[in-house]
Amino acid sequence: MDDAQIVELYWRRDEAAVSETAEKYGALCRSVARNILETDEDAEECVNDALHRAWDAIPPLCPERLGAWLGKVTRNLALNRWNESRAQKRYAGMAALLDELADCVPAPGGVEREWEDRELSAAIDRWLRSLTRTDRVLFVRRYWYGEALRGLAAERGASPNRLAQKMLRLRRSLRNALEKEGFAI
Amino acid sequence: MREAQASRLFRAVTEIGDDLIEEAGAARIRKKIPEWKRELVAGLCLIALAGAGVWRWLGRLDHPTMPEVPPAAADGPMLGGPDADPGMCGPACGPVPGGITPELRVGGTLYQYAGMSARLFLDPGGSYSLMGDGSTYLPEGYEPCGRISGITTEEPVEDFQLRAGFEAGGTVFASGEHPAVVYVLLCAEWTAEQGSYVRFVSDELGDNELLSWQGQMYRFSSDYEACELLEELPAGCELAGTLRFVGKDSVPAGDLETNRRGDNYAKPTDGREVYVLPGDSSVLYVYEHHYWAGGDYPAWRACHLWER
Repeated sequence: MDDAQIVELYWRRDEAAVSETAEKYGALCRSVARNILETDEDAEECVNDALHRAWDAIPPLCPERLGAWLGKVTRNLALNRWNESRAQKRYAGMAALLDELADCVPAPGGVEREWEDRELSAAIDRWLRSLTRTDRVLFVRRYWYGEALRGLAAERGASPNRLAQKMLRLRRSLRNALEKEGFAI
Repeated sequence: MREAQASRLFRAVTEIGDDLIEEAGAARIRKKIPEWKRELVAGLCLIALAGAGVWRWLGRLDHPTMPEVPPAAADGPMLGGPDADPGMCGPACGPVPGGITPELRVGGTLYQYAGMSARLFLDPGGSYSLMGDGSTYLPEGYEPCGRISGITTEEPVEDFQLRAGFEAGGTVFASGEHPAVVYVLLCAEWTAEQGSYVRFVSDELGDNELLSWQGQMYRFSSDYEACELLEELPAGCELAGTLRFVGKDSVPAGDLETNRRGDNYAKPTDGREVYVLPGDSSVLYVYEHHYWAGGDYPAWRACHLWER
């Protein structure tokens, strides 16, 4: 069933929408959540929450790309859960992602102005589109899908160290781009 | 604090375009295609290619004068006045079609493809930035010396023969001052309509970023494995001098000459301090200022003797 047909089910308030969504995107959402939370139980709860959110949000929403939209909802839910649980336990995978992304935080000073989170997202989006497809896919797979470096390296036939350097260069490129646009986080 | 900032970035990454998420998602799915299916498709493609090759061969038997390559475009404009920066390999030395890294023989020397040409300028922030579409840029001093004579999938043996996995033609440009690099105004299906300037480098340079000192050559790269970054200069090091950038297409020869234009931040390497430990000339240490969210700090890039 394609996305338009599934969204149609939501609009008709047909509960088959949820099962169809779970069948098509459950594995994706589970994978995204698990790369942040790293426990199956928490990831499963996140996915269930995301499906409930979908039922509540559609309509009036009409996502054109249901998988991407659902993935974003799942990521945000997973991050909220990670923030709540941080005092109790640390998820190594998420910690690694945040440690790496800290490289992208622009240096203080220079042009300083307030900006909304969506403006930052737009800037990151613009930077991603300036990359080669290979680099862009690599960055998104690492920092959106949360895939492990080792797996990505094995797929490319590269050593994890070499890929880590590649990722470092990409993060620095992002930092430079954000600095040039005057962002200060 | 840093974690909170990174967390904010993490959320911002969440909201990138749906098409980018799908694009990466498709790449994830492709990796899950079973090996036997991929091999089957590859086999079918080979059969199709072989069939196409036979067909073309038969066509040539009927039309022996049919050219192997499309006619090359007219010579492109010679750009790059006296104030232009020397060209540099473009930012996206990505894979070329055909699955073969192009090689070109000129004057008996074999040159390997090193990406599109690019024109850079020093922006107000003191960093090098790309100026427009680099594929129309040919550095000063390069003159036409021939045209691509044919395409092969093996190592080229004749001058102006191009090894490639795609059909192409074009004009080859060389410079007496920079014999390690040639440019080609390449006309292929994947280039601009009027042709694109691409760069080829010889083994003498091997597209390496180098630094010369007292007759020896050192690797001067942003690759952390090749040239590690140190936050402390080894005790006893002395100042050897400052770097002089001699152009991306040049092979450094004199003391403290380099063909590396900019560092990881695209800041000029020209004028950088270089240190050496007396009695150990196997490593040179080049100063490189680094930045992070907490501030900035001095660092030194360890440049080891280059093993060709």
